[in-house]
Amino acid sequence: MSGTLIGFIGLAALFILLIIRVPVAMSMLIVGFVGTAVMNGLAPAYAALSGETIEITTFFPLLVVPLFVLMGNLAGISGMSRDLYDAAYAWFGHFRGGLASATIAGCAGFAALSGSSIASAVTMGRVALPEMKRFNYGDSLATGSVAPGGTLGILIPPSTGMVIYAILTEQSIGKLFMAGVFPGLLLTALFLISIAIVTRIWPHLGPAGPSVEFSEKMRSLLRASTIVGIVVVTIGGIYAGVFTPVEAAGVGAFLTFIVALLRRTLSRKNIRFVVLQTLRTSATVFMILIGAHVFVPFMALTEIPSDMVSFLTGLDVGDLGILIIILATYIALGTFLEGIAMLVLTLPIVYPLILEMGLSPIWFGVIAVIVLEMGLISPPVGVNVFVVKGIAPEVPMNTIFRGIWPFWISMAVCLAILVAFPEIALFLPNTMFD
Amino acid sequence: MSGDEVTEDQAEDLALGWIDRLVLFVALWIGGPMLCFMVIVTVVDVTLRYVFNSPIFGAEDFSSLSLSIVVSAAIAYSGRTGGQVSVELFVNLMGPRITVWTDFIVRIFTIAMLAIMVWRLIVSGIDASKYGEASFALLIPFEPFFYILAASMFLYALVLAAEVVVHYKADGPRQMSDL
Repeated sequence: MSGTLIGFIGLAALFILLIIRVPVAMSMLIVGFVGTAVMNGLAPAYAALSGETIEITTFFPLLVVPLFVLMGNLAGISGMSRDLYDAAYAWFGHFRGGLASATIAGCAGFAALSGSSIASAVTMGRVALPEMKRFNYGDSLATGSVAPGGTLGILIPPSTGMVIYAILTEQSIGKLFMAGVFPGLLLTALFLISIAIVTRIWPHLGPAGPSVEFSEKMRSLLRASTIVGIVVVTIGGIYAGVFTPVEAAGVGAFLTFIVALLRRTLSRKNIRFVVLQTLRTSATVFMILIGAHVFVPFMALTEIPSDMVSFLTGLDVGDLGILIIILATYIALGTFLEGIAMLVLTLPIVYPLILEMGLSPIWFGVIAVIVLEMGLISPPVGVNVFVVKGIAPEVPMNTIFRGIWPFWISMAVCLAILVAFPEIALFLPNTMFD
Repeated sequence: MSGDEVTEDQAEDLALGWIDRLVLFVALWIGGPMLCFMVIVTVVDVTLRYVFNSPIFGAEDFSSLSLSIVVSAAIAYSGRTGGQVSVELFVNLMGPRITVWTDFIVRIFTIAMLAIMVWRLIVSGIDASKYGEASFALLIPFEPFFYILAASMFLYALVLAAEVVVHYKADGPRQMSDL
């Protein structure tokens, strides 16, 4: 039996396991283990199982995962999200659609403390949705702005999606974090433009809120300055070469802990929540990485990735055509595959292709994360949409999806801009202090 | 509520109650302190480096091995609280009467895979001891960490086994509602 045939049987088995809801990590472990055993014998398969498990769980750079997740969770319970929203509200609230804009701005700010889109959507959604309801915002705009706003969590550093990409492609976590900064700000701006367009066409969806005095605006900025300080220390520290990503994560978690302590939000219940939530997210990421590290070498053995690279580069569509095929495939897969799962399962094939085409792996990391974000808000299984539905159960799903479309289009525009001008993503990584 | 339902719930509580307490204990009292330890080591290391130009010798070893314990303490908790990522779309299309059986098969597959992992991690731990595998700077032996990971996978398998025991309930085992 040829390696390619074994590979296709492995992929079919993987697909069946995923269909019956075997966790993605476990599906990759099973197929990777059995496939390696068939192709190379049991000894290498056994070695891969235990070897990859110990290697991934003791891999020092991966400390960023629990530490940054801890920082995001501490920020969530410390009330910083409220400060962010209040500041954005004070400055944007009196414009048409201002509360939705404040939600997006708040999400972007919170994203700089949290690496998870779900955490960002939950945290900001709980603060913003009741306010928008109070000011008679249309359900579609209110819920539609929280779900995409939350996705900024995995684009603006720190980002769990970037960490997973970095580990699977052996790229620098720090450079990938930096590469997400300007695209994150660009996407935030495009989201704000979407809100302006939507509320210009349908003003009843986002009525203007009351205006706030200048002194109160400044006070709200001052309250939010704690977050700015932490972001400058952590993300700025990585850029300036003061901290490695692991050190920045540790210092960031510590500073956020101090803020939560000073604000007296560290109740027994909150500490328990923060610890358990951090462990849960970390375990999810690590299990996926262990699974990927057993599955990916099996895929390489089958030569399917190299065959696919030869096939696609042989197509008479040019590099841009191939890139469009990749992005279109990702967008289609994102409608039914969970984002991280999609990234892990497709990278063994897509990444060699990106290298073969001479594209920057750092730039593609940003592109992949944005496409992954699109999946998070695409029907029928957009995870962030379910998160928002959990916070606003009275709003029908189709109303939420209706509100999301303008933001989805913004993401597509952002992708197009980044394809045309890769420097937007690459400027900071190229100028950062190594 | 009928008498049968009460009996089913009691059986479920018996099977899952003790495992939930164990999983929570491991996560909170092993994972939690190790998480704090990682933060402290990192912050102290950075501070000593910048203030006294004298970082902690072997800080990376402490941190990476703590990471292994944190992940080990978290795996079963994550599994029990639905933290493992899976693809939901197709199962949603099948409906609960089919998914109750596919979920049963999923758990059996996962337990089998975890059993192999536990076995191989123990074997690798014995080998690590035999060949003196240790961390780079402080030469901390890797052997116990293989066993800790094996124990973690075993606990995850126990979680799934307990869920299989109560699987006969049409709506599947209840989720741990701690969060």
